[in-house]
Amino acid sequence: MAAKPVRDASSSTARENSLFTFRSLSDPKVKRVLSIRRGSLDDLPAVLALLDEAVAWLVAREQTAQWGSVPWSERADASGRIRAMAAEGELWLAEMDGEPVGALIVGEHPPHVHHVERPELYVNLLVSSRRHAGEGIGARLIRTAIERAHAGDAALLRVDCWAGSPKLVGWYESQGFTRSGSFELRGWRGQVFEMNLRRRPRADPWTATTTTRNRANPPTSDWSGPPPGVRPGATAAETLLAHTDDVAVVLGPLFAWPNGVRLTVWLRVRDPATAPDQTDFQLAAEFADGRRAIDAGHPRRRRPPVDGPRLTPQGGAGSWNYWLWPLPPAGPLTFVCAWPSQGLAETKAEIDAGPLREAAARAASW
Amino acid sequence: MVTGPPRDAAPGVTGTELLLATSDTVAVTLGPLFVWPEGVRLVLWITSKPPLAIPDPVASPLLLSVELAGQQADLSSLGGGGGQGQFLWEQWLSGLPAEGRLKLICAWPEHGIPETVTELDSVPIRQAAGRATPLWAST
Repeated sequence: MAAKPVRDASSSTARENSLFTFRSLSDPKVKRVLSIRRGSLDDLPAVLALLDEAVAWLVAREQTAQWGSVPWSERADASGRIRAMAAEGELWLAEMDGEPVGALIVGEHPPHVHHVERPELYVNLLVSSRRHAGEGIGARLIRTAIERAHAGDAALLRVDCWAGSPKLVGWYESQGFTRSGSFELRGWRGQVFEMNLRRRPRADPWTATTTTRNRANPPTSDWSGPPPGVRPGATAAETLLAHTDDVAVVLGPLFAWPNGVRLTVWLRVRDPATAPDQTDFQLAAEFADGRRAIDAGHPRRRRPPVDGPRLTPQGGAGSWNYWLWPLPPAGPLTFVCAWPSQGLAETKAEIDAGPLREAAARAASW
Repeated sequence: MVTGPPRDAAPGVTGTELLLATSDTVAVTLGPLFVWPEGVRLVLWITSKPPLAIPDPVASPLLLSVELAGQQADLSSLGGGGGQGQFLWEQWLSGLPAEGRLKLICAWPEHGIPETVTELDSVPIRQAAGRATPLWAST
């Protein structure tokens, strides 16, 4: 579960830690002041300028596999992406004597990164001025991210970077991150890292629910994902979950374990030139015994209670992936999906849970 | 040239479930094949045993190739990802295999998997291609 970013930028912690002085690498006699401040959408041009500077630096070193060769400010979608990340999360700027020298955006994890069932904060963007390389700006921004994660009561801080540079991967490890996952998205290979944070005693909502409201809950490992070290059984149903004149929802592979199912759906649009908003797509599953697992939806939407079946969005590259807990009982398993922004009203499609249960029985250690 | 699954048709599906390779630490499972007349989407599930939480298919890629009638087929990555010891990885096999056997060759030296060959019958794959259906009538 992702922790809600705390939006109070004027907290004493943020202010007290925001200033320190150090000596310039170019002239050790010159003391300069690095300050960290909460940014706003007005700062987006400065962020894009930092990204452009980074791309130019990478191009000069022929390292175009990381961020390409086109300046971010000239990419049609880049500005919108940065704006959305900043609007949905928190933007922080590093300034040296008032000049922007670094930027950090923290918030929810991107959809292509695997889901974790712990309150977390995700570093969506980290960039520092190449003119000040080696002056500790990136490390200072990571410290800011850690402070924000603590402020939001997160147990975990995660980040990803381009996996093709051992030096870059090593830098994140030097900051205290450990490798925890990876992804490949349209040929771009990403390394995912995590940093466990020592949490304050305040309980998160899951813990509170589990311990005080529903003591019969299964252990975390049961509802949160596949059992460790157990390979799945696999099956599929040749089923269209929903279909309109403009969009379709196709059921992909089903990987099953005795405690649940990892399922994939593919969203299709008739006009390939459109890039429809997918954030309001919703899925639910109805079991033969009447229980209903509701899509926890976008991380910012309210999650379902943990004492019923759950359908938790997982990471995925170009697909929608879910963890369905528990394994559905025998009989029909009905998927209900809706995509209001694309005119897809609630639509039901049924598959037989039998093959799923058989696949789950084939899951095994090796 | 088709470089990935068609977006305007629903695939036919095979009932494939094959354990392609295992080592002391990782297992590679091939799931159902999603088939169009233009090619085949292969879905691999990679599991690692604790405490090896990360088989890390990015840093040390799983090597996969497909051989059709002695010729190496055109296979490209569709991406994937995961963590905590469970990864999904997808590949696109361009073109429908001709009748006969096809060989899946899998190796992952970093994780103790030597070159391992698994044979598949192309008949169910070709039959699945016949069940692929256009999502929308051509305009």
